[in-house]
Amino acid sequence: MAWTRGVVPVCDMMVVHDAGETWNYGTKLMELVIKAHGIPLTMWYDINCRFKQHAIDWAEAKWGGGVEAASLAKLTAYPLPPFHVSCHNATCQWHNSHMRMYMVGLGAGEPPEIAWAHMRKAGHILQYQSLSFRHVSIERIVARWNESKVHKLIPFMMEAYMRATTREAEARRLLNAVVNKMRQQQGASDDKVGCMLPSERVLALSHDTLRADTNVAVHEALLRRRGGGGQVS
Amino acid sequence: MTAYRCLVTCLPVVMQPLDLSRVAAGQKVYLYSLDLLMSLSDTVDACPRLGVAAFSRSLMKRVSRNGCAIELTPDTVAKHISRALHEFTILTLGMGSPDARRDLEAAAMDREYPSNAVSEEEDQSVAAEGGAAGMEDGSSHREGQDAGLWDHDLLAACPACRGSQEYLLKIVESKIREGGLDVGEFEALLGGSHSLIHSMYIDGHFGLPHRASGGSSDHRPPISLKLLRDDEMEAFRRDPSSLTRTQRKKKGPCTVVFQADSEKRKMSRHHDRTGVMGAFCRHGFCLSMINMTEGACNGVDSGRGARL
Repeated sequence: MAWTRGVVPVCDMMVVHDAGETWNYGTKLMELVIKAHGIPLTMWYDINCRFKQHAIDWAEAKWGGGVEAASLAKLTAYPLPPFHVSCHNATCQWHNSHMRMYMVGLGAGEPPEIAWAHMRKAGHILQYQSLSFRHVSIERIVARWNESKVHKLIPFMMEAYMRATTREAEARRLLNAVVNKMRQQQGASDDKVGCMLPSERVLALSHDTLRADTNVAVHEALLRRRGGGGQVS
Repeated sequence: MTAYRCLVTCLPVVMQPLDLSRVAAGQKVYLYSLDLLMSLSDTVDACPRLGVAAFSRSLMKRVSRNGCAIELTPDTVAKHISRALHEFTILTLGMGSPDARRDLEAAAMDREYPSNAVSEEEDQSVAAEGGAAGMEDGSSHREGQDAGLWDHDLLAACPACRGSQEYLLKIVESKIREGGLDVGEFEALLGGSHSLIHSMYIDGHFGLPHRASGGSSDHRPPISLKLLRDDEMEAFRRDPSSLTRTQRKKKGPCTVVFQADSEKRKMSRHHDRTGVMGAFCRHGFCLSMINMTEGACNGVDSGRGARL
């Protein structure tokens, strides 16, 4: 079982417990990652509902409101991880679920928790070592962990691909079912159906789906509503 | 038993062979063999039929507390320890006071990292300068060090992330259009980095604490590839940007009861490092880690589940 930051789910009950990290640790890790890898497109953290604004404020103070701060505010998505999201209240789940964020994808579970379950085995010995020796030991553990992840990379990506294609096929089936039902039961025109379909994700999905299923007019209506022209290539 | 003792004495950093008579007498034995034990634990997890009951996850606990009689066959010992040797195991065995343990560890590090055996004066001067210079480029704690055993190319970035740069750039371009941002600035920002990542996951872990009784650091850590040195974190804490105070919402979701906030400054009486906090990419590759000195720490054994 993984532990959330301050909230422990036990048998469908939420128990508030004493744990927590200061925000400085999160911002320092963000700084290290930004310097090495650029702005991350998605930043997953257990408390993103509260940490997001602090990260943006910190970036403005750090870089004086430059491009880094702007990108952290507008380019980066801040979803809650799929396990920890269950520990937030319903409104927070609605606003911060990765399923409702643009270009975030399905996520990859919670990689830190998997790593912690592995590294936890060394806890007994590490706590009695001197600090410098513990430092080297943790470096070795992390190096071994990264090496093991490289060896498991192909199965991991194949599984992710299967999961994504399955979910995409299901979404396409549901989208076509909705469009056909709206046509049959409500007698709506293609323009009206295009205006009633709600989200940007539907637009991204409809580009192939609706065109392949002769719902070209609905897709054109979606494009017109978005201001991208009405021609389907 | 014989095989185990024989192979242990072959390891590169052995100060004292394991005296099994002292183990049998119930005297306390400190066994520092992280890579060995973790690789064995992996093996047992993957192959339950192997039958190496002594190499369960509780081995470290038993050995570090009371000592235990390790029942092994020569074949399994040879296989596992040769694997650990291949992976550059540090193995030190020590009995006695914490001072003796520190001496053993210092000798082990000097032996493996001779270029990093700096004097105390030099160490203090480096610490006094702080991580201010390292803060300028963000990742300088990874540079200018003789990594020796480490594969820099592998440790630099996740291979899967490096292989998907074109795809990530398309996503960035799409998001820039969506947000109505200035493309030119972002090209300047992203152009220097050829290892974009899609997702970063950060989380804290209180299962790797450090007891204050374990001893302070006489040596500066000779290598810092993923785990940030403490002096650099302290320099970050003194940075004005880290003192930014965000206006807390008084209404809205997750603002009424959040007891973690009241516990985050909690200092442990027994631990000077309460755990680690790490950043990972979406493939599970560790990008960076930080030692935590604050926050609730219940130790390794006294899990919160037990208290519930």
